[in-house]
Amino acid sequence: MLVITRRAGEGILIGDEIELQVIELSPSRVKLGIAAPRSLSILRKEIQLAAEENLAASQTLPLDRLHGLLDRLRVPRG
Amino acid sequence: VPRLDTPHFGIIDYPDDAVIHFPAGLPAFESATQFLAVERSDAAPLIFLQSVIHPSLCFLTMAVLDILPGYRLALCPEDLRLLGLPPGPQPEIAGDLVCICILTVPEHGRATANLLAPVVIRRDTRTGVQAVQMDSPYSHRHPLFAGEASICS
Repeated sequence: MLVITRRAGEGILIGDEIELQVIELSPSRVKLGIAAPRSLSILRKEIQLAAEENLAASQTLPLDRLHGLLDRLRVPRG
Repeated sequence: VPRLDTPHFGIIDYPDDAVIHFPAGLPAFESATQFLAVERSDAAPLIFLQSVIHPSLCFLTMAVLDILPGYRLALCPEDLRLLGLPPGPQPEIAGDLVCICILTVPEHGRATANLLAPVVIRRDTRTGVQAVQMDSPYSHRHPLFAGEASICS
């Protein structure tokens, strides 16, 4: 992975069409501005994680697997 | 009465006002904008989130507070807007605001709950979002059974 140090207000260019700018820094987060063609999808990475997990979860349902799950859920937990 | 033929439950007849609208769909299933929450006494505490648009798509879910009491929402401004809630303080999971999370139950390996991206539903407006939480301390693969926490992570 390429690592570049930037200050607030500075930016980087990726290819001819993508510009990334560091807008604001605080102790726990960074605000980024991104200029890119509309055709590019830009996602928070957690959304990608959620999408992958949804795909895995959508394969979950065979009902024969549920009985074991229900048995365990109904045992008082503590 | 609308009717849905599903592989998991057979034919479901449901009133129009049972449909929950997800204006943004779910991540990876953006076209799935309408769901039914199917609760069956023989499957409690599980709740099935059955897609109306894709009858073969059905998620297994559970109330988030049954999995982790004290769970806190951290909705991003866009999700608050989709739910028709004001920006600002985070809503409480209470009254008309329901929060369930999607379970993954692999054939082998541990069952997990996606606490990073809970499904938040307003019962009064029949609107829902899968809210990928901001700055979340919660995992997208939270072990459903605590004893399994250290087996395979």
